[in-house]
Amino acid sequence: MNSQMTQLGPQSPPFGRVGQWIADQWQALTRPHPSITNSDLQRRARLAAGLCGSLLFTSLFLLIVRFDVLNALGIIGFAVSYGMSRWRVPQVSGLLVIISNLALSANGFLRVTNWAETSILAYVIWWALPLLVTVLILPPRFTLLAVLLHVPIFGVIFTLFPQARDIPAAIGSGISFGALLVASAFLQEYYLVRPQVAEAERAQKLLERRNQALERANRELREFSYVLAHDLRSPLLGIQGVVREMHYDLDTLEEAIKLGLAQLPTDEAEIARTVHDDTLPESLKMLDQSAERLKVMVNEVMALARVGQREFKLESVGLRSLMEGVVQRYAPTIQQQAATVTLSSLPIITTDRLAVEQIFTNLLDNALKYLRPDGPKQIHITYQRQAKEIVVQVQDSGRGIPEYDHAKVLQPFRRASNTDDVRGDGVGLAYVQSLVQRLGGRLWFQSQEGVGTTFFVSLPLDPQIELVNVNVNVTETPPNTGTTTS
Amino acid sequence: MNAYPLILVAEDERLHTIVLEKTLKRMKVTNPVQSFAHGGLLLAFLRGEEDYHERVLPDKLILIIDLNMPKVDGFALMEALNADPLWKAYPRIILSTSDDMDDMNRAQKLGYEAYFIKPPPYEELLAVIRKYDPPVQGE
Repeated sequence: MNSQMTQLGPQSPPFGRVGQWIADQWQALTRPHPSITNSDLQRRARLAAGLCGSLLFTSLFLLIVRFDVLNALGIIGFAVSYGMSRWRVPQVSGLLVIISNLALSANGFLRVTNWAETSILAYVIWWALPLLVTVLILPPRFTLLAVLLHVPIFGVIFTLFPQARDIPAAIGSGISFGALLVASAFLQEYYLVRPQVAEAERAQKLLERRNQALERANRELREFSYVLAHDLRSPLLGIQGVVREMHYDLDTLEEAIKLGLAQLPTDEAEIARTVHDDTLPESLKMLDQSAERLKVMVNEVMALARVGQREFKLESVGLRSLMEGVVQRYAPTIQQQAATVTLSSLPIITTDRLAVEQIFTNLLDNALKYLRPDGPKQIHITYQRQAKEIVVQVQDSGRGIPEYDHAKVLQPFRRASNTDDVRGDGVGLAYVQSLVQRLGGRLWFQSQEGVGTTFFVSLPLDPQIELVNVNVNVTETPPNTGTTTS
Repeated sequence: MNAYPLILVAEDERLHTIVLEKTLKRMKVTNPVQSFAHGGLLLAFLRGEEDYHERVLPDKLILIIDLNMPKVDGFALMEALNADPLWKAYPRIILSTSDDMDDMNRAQKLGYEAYFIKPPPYEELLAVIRKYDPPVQGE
C-alpha cells in the first residue's frame, strides 16, 4: 500500500507515461510561440489555447457519449492545427481551416464542413453561412469560436430536433449561434484572458521597477567608483612625482655622501654604503613601481566606470566590416605571431558601434596575447543567429583558462593563473562584460586548458535604447537623490 | 625694471606643489614661485588681504591653477579673475588631473594660456613660462 502510494505520488501524472506525454503535448500546444513578443498576439495565443481545450473536450464528449470516433478525430485535428498555427497569422489560419473543410456533397453541393461532421450533421453549405461570415468579417477570435462551436451546437440541435433541418430553423439557430459566439468570446476575454494579462502586466511592472532600482544602484556605484578613482589619482601622482624627485635629490647629495662616507669609521661606512648603494635606490624603485601599478589600476577603474557614463547610440552596424577593421589594426601582431584569423560572414545589426568595436578589440587582443608559443595559432570569429539575438564566437587555439580560474577571469583585476608571462592588468574582460551587459547582451566562455578558449557574445537583435541608456531622470527617482552629477 | 614674472600656484595637493617647484628649479627657472592651497588664498594674495598685507605685487604674474581644489576651486578662481580687468590679463596655465571633456570645455570658456593634464610635459610647461621672460639685455 505504502509503496503504491509513493509510486502514485503527487508528482506522477494520473495516467503514467502516457499522461505525461499528453501533458507535455498540451503544454507545447498552449505555449505561445517564442517569436510572439507583441502582447496582443500573446493574448490571442492564450485564447487559442483555451479554445483548443474546449475543442478537445467536445471531441471527448462525442467520443464517449456518441461513440463518434471519426468526428472526434476530426475535431482533434482542428485543435492540433490551431495549436500548431499558434496564431502567427490568425486570419490565414482561420481561412485555411475553412478551405480544408470545403467538400462536395454526394449530390454536388459545395459544403463547408469536414467529412466527419457531414456524417452526423449532413447540413448543406448555406447552413454554415454564419460561420463563413464570421470568418471573413469578424475578428479572428470569433472565427475560431465559430469553427469550434458550430459542430457541437448543431450536433445537439439536430439530435434533439431532427425537424430543425430546414431553412428557417437553420437561420434561427445561426442567429442564436452568433449570439452565443459573441457572448462566449467576451466571457473568454474577461474571465480567461484579461486576468492573465493583468497578472502578467503586474509582474512585468514589478520586474521593471526592480530593474530600475538595480540600474540606479549600479549607476550610483559606477559614479562612486569614478569619483573615487578620480580622487585617488591626484595624491598618487603626487607620490610618484615626489619619488622621482627623490632620485634627483639623491644625485644632488652624491658628492656630500661620498665625502661623509670617507670620514666614517669603516664598519659604519659599510652599513651606510649599503643603504646608499642598495637599500635606498631599491626602495625608491619599488615605491615608483607600486605607484605606477596603482595608477594603471585607477585609470582602468575610471575607464570601467565610464562605460556607464557614455551615452550609447544605436545605429546599423555591419559587423563584418567592423571586424575587418579590428583585425586590420592587429595585422602587425598577427603577422609577428604567424597566427591566422578567420572571419565568417557576419550580420548587420542595430547596436552601438564604438562599444561593439571595443568588445571585439579586447577579445581579439586577448586571444592573440594568450596563444601558445608552440601551439597552433588560429582564431575563428563566427556567429549564430537565434530568435532574438545573435551570438558571436571568438574561438582561439590558445592556452585556455584553467578550470579553477573560470569564475574569476571576468572580474576586474583578476587574471588566470597561467598568464604570468604576459603583461596585462586583468581589466579587459571585465570591461568587455560591462559593455556587453549595457548593450543588453551576455558574455560567457568555454575553455579547456591547453586546447583553447571560445568567448561568446550575445547581442540582442532589437536593443532598446531606453534600456541601453537608462535615463537619469527616471520619474520614480526619490526626491532625496535628486542631485545630479557635477 | 624688467624682471621674471612671479609664478603663483594654486594647488591643494602639497606633493604636486613640491614636485612642481623642484622640477622648475631643476630646469633652471629663476622666476619666484609662491604656492597656495586653494584659489581663495591666491585671491587673498592678489587683494593683499589676510596674511598677505605685506606682500609686494609685481606687474607681471603667471598663474598656475589646479581645477579641483577645496573651498575656491579653479573654475571659481578663474571667474573671480575674469571679474577684474587687471587680473584677467594675467596668463593662466591649467594643471589638472582631469581629462574630462566637460572640465576642459568649461576651463576653455573661462580662458587659459595652456591646459596640461598631470603629470605635465615639463618641457612644454617651461616653454609657456619662458614666453613671459623679460627681453634679453642689450636688445
